[in-house]
Amino acid sequence: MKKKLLATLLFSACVLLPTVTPAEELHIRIDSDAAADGTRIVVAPFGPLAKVIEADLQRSGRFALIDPARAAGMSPDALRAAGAQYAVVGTQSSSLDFQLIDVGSGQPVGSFRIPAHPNQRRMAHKAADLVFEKITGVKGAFDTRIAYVSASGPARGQTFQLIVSDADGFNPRTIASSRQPVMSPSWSPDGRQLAYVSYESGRPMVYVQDLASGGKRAVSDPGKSTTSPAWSPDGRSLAVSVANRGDYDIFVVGANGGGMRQITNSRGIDTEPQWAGANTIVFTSDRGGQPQLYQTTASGGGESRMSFNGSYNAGASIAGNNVAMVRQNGGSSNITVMNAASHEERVVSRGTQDDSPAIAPNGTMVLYATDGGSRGSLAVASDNGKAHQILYSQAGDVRDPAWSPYLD
Amino acid sequence: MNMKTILAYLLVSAFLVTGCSQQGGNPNGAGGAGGAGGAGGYGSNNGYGYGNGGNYGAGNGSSQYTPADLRNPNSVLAQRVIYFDLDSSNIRPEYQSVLDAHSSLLAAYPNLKVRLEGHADERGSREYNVALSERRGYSVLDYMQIKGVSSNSMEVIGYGEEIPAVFGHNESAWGKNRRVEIKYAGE
Repeated sequence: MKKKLLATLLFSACVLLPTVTPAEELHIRIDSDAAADGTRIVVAPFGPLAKVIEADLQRSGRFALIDPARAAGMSPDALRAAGAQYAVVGTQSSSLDFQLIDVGSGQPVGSFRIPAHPNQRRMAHKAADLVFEKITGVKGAFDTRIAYVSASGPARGQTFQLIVSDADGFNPRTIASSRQPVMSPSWSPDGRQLAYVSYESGRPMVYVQDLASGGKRAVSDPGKSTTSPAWSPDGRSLAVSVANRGDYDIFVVGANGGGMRQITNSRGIDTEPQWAGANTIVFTSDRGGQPQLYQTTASGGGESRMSFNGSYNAGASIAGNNVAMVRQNGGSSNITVMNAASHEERVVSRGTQDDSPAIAPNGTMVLYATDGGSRGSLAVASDNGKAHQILYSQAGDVRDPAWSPYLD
Repeated sequence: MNMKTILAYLLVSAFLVTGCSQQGGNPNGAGGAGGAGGAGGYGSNNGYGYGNGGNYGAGNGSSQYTPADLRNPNSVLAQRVIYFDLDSSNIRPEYQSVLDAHSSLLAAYPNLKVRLEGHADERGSREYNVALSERRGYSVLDYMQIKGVSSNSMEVIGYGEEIPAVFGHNESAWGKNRRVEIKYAGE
């Protein structure tokens, strides 16, 4: 029944968006959601979207979901007997109307209405965002999207697809397809455009594509290999890495192309720029011999190293003070999240070859690529390491994820 | 056989017809090309034949190789891939003879063009690997430039870990994927 519903939702999404191609759906395998010490919450079974809210809260690693059957009728006594601290009760018609109840006081913490939306799952994600924010004080990031690359076919003869989906992997659609590599998607701050790298011209170049129209423009110099686009917070510029005889440096270019200016000029590789606010760019450099994270001002100058533990740190993804990075250690690589203020670090990934971290806009979850056996998969981990899911495709290898900003 | 391969065969056989008619008329034959490579007379060539074809330009007589040798599976020029150590772009000594042969040919036939396509294994960060693989390509370019090849004859592209030669998550696969491929224009 659930599958049928999802299929219907998927189908209607496709009908509504005729300019894009539906892509192979990601399948979800939950490794763990055992946030036993998390906030105990029960979501009343008021309709199919209740399950989507449950899944979102679970993925955050901050909640212990209680089976609603243990609090039948959702009476205050039943909720207390089930050990719930909070309950979500509501009704689903064309809109989604719900209340968040503090079981201890028996009082509603808030009453909400999510208006009808053609992608019904988004209504549930919006509801989960409100619940998350009310309880944790942190804005929810469930109603967001992700972009990732799928590769299928034989070695040396793969087809590359750039895919956009909801943050939980549903409603995937292919926005670009090529026999040449496609990589490094980056979301514009308004969530309407993607910058990415394509080898379609014979060398890596940066393109910006409008998601609604599909229109695409090259923003990098055709004569120079250019990689790793990252949108500035104001949406006007992209930080990129530009090659000069194998020596990559960080540049900033206008989002419409033009105005290319050099930010770093070191011997060695400077790549993978990311913005940390409007005035700071964090990047990977091997100027010290091995790749490490460095930071500089957005106008250039004032460079300093910011990763010190481990001999290989690269590929930063930043939200607030949380900096996710790839750390290679011996033969394996994992995703580490560092708090830039306290320098506290935590390994959040569980594979042996993990890379390409993409942190949620609220910093509470990290999406990354993992080898997942024979096929590459995506995985999502809560920043506290307690919840962990694998998102895999039966159509091919999936990798190189990017997490969208908050959406309207 | 794809279109490009067919074109390459047609091109090369056209040279064989104009430049060395005794080897012409065998568009599919690796055996025919082998014969051309084995013909020692070309080793001391002074640029005849191929120069008339116009596409490769005149050889300067300094190479023991000719473009026809590119089709000879027994020629050292058939080796188009060299491999690298982990996180390294240093040319391993065992590949110097391969690069020397390609350098000799390219220096003698300046109209021949190659793309040096660098690759990395899957480990480490994806974008960093693009740069690392490009650095491998430039280490081959630098080597061949010292051996007399014009930089105008060479172009470097770094593919990172995006186009593995083989799939697999083990040292055997990684070793085959850390590589530079020498691609001649028109092939």
